[in-house]
Amino acid sequence: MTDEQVLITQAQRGDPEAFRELVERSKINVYRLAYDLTGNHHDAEDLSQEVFVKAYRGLPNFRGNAKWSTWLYRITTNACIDHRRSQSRTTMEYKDDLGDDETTSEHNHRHSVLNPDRSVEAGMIQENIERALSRLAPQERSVFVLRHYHDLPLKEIAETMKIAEGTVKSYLFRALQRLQRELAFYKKDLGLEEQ
Amino acid sequence: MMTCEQSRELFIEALYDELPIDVKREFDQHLVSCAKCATDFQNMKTTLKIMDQRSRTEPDQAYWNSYWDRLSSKIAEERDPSKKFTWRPARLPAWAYGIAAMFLIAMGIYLGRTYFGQHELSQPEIEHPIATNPVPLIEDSTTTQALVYLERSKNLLIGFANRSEDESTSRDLSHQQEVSRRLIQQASMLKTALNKPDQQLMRQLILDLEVILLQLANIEVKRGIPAVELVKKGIDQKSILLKINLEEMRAMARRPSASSDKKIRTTL
Repeated sequence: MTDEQVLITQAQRGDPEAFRELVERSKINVYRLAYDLTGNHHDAEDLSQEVFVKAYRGLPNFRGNAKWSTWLYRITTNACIDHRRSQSRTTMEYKDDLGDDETTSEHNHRHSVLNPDRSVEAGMIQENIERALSRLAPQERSVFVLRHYHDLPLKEIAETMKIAEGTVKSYLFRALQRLQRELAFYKKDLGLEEQ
Repeated sequence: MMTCEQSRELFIEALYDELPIDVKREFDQHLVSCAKCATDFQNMKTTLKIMDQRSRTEPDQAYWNSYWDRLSSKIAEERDPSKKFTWRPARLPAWAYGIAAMFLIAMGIYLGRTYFGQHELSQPEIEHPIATNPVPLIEDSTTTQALVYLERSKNLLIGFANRSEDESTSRDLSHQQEVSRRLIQQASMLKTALNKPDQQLMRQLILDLEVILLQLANIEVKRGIPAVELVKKGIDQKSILLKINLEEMRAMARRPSASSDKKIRTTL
């Protein structure tokens, strides 16, 4: 039995210190995932806490078939996807139709040309990367973030999101295509353009 | 020999080095022989390099140190529904909150003048030794301290939220950050002291405020407008100013009329 499993068992028996230790060990990763999925600190703060409240509530049903981290990641992605859906009811920011991407990319490029000095600023790059991420559909973003920023193998992402591995690949492929279109104009700015 | 379609199905694994060695060899051979697939694969690689430029704004240690306190209070609410305070405002534009706040304040003033004001005017001759007592009767000192704390925080946040974009770049925030730090110190004391059932709303509000104040105290000036805007957004999203107003009105309603004359002193 691993140290983590011991803590989970103790927490399931109602030991608050054991649960606290589990939270302390995973709070940064959960917060970071929530931040990567929402793009802002306030939502990440609220959602990461919501994740641990849900974990506390669901602790008696946690059977240990999955890893603790996988289970938390699942709760986090679900919470963030729900959050995103509730937001998109009022503001439809992303479009499912890949055919519309030219418009966004053209807009960004025009913006960059109008503000040549700002386009090279790190802050602007961050902003455009965040904007590109926000254009992804919730599932695409989740898959991309888990693979690229949290280094989860495809198999583990499939387990986390309870979808087939082929579906993970499909989401990831579409996410990359969309990001490529959104950020096409940056290749030159960052010196990454093909020769 | 691998076809273009087969190679594209392997793009994702290839980008993240998840291909078995023999399959990778075959994949690489295909790229050498197919310029189109090679270009498309390279473009995806380049996009990932751009995404590598992304950095997160990480909260500081103070945020993590208070993380468990905030979480455990939420879990306590979870365990004891009677302590549960759920603030879920409908998604309304900011001006609607402003109007609602003004309406509530106006209503409070009207009710105060109608009921308490007349009562005082109709009994001017009655000597009320308690009324001259500067210490409120019903409120305990913790509640009074909490009200002073809320008033100070409100003034600080109003000043901060009303900064123009020009001010955000030209003026440094050192004074406001210093005040935030002092308020954060007071918050930890107040959180412990506010332990009665009827003080839980106020305690929750102070917890919410603490998060905002922590962020304000830790804004790095070099990060400029985005960091400032982030905190302003937090103030707006949590409707923190409206909550303070409501809490103050609630406290005022509980006070005896005599103590309503006592103005909360605000010193920043």
